[in-house]
Amino acid sequence: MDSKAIEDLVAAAKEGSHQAFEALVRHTYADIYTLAYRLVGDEEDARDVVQEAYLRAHRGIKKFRGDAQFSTWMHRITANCANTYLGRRNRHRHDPLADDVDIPDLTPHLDPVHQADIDVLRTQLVSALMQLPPKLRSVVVLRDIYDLSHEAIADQLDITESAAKVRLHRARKRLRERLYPLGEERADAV
Amino acid sequence: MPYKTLTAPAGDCHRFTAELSEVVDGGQCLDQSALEHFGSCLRCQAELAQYKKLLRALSNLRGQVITPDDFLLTDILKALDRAGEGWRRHLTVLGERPAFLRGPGAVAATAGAAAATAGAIVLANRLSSRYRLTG
Repeated sequence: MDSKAIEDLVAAAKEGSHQAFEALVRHTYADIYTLAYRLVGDEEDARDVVQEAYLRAHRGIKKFRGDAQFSTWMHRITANCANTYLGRRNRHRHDPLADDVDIPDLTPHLDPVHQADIDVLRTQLVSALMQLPPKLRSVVVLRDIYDLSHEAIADQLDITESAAKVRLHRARKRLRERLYPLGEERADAV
Repeated sequence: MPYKTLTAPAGDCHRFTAELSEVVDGGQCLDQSALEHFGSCLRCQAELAQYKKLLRALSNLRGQVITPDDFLLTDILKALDRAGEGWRRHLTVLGERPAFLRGPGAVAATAGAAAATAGAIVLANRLSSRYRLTG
């Protein structure tokens, strides 16, 4: 779906068209689920975050000014929902410490021989991401994967910009140390 | 955009490596002495290269979508259904969704209608067989 079609759907949804909003949901929900999963690190929690994000989006669609893309707007809402969810989860649940992290299946689609190596490297990166504390992971996911600004990240996570930068630095440092423990070059092909 | 600059005392790598993740992001640039340090320090050069590769690898993850199961879309639409009357009307007008998408009331109504239809068929059969017996 091209950007013009999405703009048209957003405009219709702002006018109250539920069909248009449903089309937006159908078009974006896998991407939003991916972000939610990367932020909360759990499939069931990610599903809850996604549902809450679309509820908020539905309630707030009329206020969407269109300065950013609809996907970026949804990313910000999802980040905010995930942050709220993680705060609640930390208060009510104690996750066991585990060395093994459930890695999602990322569909390979290229040359199988070369792709096998790339998949291993990518899996290492995803694994390293998932083993970061949620507060550090949120910032590096939003900044380095989804390209949100420091200002937007600080706004959605309810922290200062400088705190966001400090977390980002710590997260990147941990990832680098994990991927290059002996100075090896392991993320070249990822 | 104003840049902070780093000073670079020679041989003091750890002071710079702590800032490299910001340098690679474009948030900071190096002053002349830092550039001279990096020009001659293989360790710092290696770390900077690793950060660049890390950021490229992270950026590449953007294109990787984790496919959710088939029920997620249904669950989202159900959540929207529960949330508002307007949305419920939309789903009803569409008229192509199973009853479970339209909430517990619709499920009960559908079940009731099915039971009534079944009851009517049974009654009709009984009446018909009675008339055949008496006729």
